[in-house]
Amino acid sequence: MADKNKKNIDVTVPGKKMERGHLHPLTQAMDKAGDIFQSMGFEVADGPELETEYYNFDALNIPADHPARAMQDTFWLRQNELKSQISNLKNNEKKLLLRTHTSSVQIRYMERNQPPFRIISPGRVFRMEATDATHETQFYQIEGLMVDRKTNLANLKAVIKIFLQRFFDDDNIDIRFRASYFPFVEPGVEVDMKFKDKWLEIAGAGMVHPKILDNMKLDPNEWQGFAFGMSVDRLAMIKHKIDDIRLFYSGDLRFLKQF
Amino acid sequence: MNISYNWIQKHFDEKLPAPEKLAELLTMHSQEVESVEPKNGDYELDAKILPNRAYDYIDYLGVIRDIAAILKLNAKISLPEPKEREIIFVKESDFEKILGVKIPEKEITDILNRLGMEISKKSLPATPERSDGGRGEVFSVGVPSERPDLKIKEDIAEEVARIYGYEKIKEKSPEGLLVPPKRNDALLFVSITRKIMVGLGFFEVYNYSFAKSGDWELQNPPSQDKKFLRTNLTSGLEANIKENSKYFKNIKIFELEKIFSKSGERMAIGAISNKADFYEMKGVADELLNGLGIDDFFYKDHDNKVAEVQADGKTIGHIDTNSFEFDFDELVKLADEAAEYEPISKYPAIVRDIAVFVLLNEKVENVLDVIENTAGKLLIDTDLFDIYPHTITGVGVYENEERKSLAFHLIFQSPEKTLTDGEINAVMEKVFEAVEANDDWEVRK
Repeated sequence: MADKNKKNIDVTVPGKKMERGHLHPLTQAMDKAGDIFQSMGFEVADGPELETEYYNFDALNIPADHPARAMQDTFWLRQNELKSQISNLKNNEKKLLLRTHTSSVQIRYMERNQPPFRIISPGRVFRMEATDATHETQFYQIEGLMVDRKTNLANLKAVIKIFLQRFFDDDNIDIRFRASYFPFVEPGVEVDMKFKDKWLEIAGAGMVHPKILDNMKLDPNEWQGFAFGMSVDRLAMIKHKIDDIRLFYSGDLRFLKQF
Repeated sequence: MNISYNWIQKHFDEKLPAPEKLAELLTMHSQEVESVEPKNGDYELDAKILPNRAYDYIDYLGVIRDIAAILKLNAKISLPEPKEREIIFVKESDFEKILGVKIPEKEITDILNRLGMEISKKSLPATPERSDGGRGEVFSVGVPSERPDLKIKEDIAEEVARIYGYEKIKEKSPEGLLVPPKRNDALLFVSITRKIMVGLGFFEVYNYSFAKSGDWELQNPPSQDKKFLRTNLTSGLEANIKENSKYFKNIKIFELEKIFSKSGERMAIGAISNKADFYEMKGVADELLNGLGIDDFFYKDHDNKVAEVQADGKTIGHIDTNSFEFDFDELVKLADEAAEYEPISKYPAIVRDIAVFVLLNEKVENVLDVIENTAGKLLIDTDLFDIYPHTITGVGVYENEERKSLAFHLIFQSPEKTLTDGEINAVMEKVFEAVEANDDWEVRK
């Protein structure tokens, strides 16, 4: 039967137009990162974007007068009595903001769970910045946290390096740490990735500051660990050679079709 | 902060590395040098001073101490011995515990000395708790007044690590039992939802969380049209359709992200298809909800939108002409991953059709209810396959009346036996009777 009909088929005629849907490239990047970290025993945690000053700053060892608060320009919400009640705020930390990092998720997770911890928290974050090809008022971040009895800086190096090698499917990727400063880690480092013979800034990281463990009622002499944070947008831009971060939020199908 | 290369050189007898090389050493071990510019026979190093080191760099001497430590040189600076030094105690084993590398003691003390610290070593008295085998020695580190950023042992470990060189810390896989991570149910359903929507041909978009109006206002909005947090996803999707219609005919997009209503932050899923009608979007909604394991929901007329969707006594979403938006937090509460297997019948199915004339405003659901309640458990599925308006022109009570015709396939099957025509005819008779019991309905024969 097949033979009989075959005669009339012109295999060079273009196929009938079909259209599949596409996941956003940032979703694809977060899914891939999630898979890699989950295979290393990390749980995926999430938390609110509309966050309190306490979880975004205070609990992370960034007090009101700390210079680091000036480093991240924050979107603050106008508030009234009702809104403060709704948001079910802790203690007197009633000021609401859009989270500037997903590190706030670490705090919420540590409050509800017992160590050892291995978590990552991907999600949307906000910065009050002038937008250009590499800066946006919103972007996605992945934060990681690992707390155990012996977790150290050498372990951090291993985890980040393996992650980047798997994410970019390139075993030649090397990383280096540079001296840096973030109030919620000590020591704190900037992580550069050697990608196609160029060093690129890729993450901020370090050993969780003992003050934070202490805030979470964990004994810093018993527990220690590392934390890191990186921009999903940046990972995706490097991976796909995208030169403008704003394309991610344009809803432009000519862009989205390519992924 | 601009630092003169010649000025730095003046503090050392030895010849320093070339400006570019020195800049790189500072970037790796101290402060990031963003540029090196030649200037009047000198070079200017533009260093981005980290906020914790600002005080140390006021007199620029921080950079001299850092270079002395990095290059193991003696700097020609003399500061009056501070009256008092903060003392930080660090056990020798702390360095390895934090950094994951064993740094020789001599190296540790050398680094700290060159950074202006005063080190003495004390042996801890032996105690039963101490089991660190001969490493019970503690450094007493006297911190100079220009380093108020050094307060705890981790700060001292950082000083040693950055000068020693992070590149000398070799990566080591973490120890500890690898337990499979716990599953995050909400994120699981997020992932299932995205797969369903993409499977139905939709593109995922991410729009801005900001909007022109809303319930939550920003104190410092990024622009005048972004003063509030968005309260829905549909407005953004509609704007996407408008933009994309310059280049595309058929546009099917969705977003799954946060919205911010009066009651706070909610996860929402919105979808729009520019060429779709209500029934197509209802089909997409059905497929999505069924895919999430939600079976118990129904559609109701809505004042502004075409329909609202209800489940568990709550409104969980709305469908408009070519779009829908659901409260995803509610969907997650209703969702169920576990599908239960129903045995597949070994016996053949019998299909019969029924067409009914009803008033134009009659709901299909009312007719279906009567059919399903009458036909009993042998009826395993019904399928509305035709619906059209129809003016009755013949003689009779319904002459010249505007009506619509609804045609259904009724599928009968038994898990236990092959059904006979006789059995099904009897059931169909009962169905015809029940339908015609309604004065406004007429079975088309």
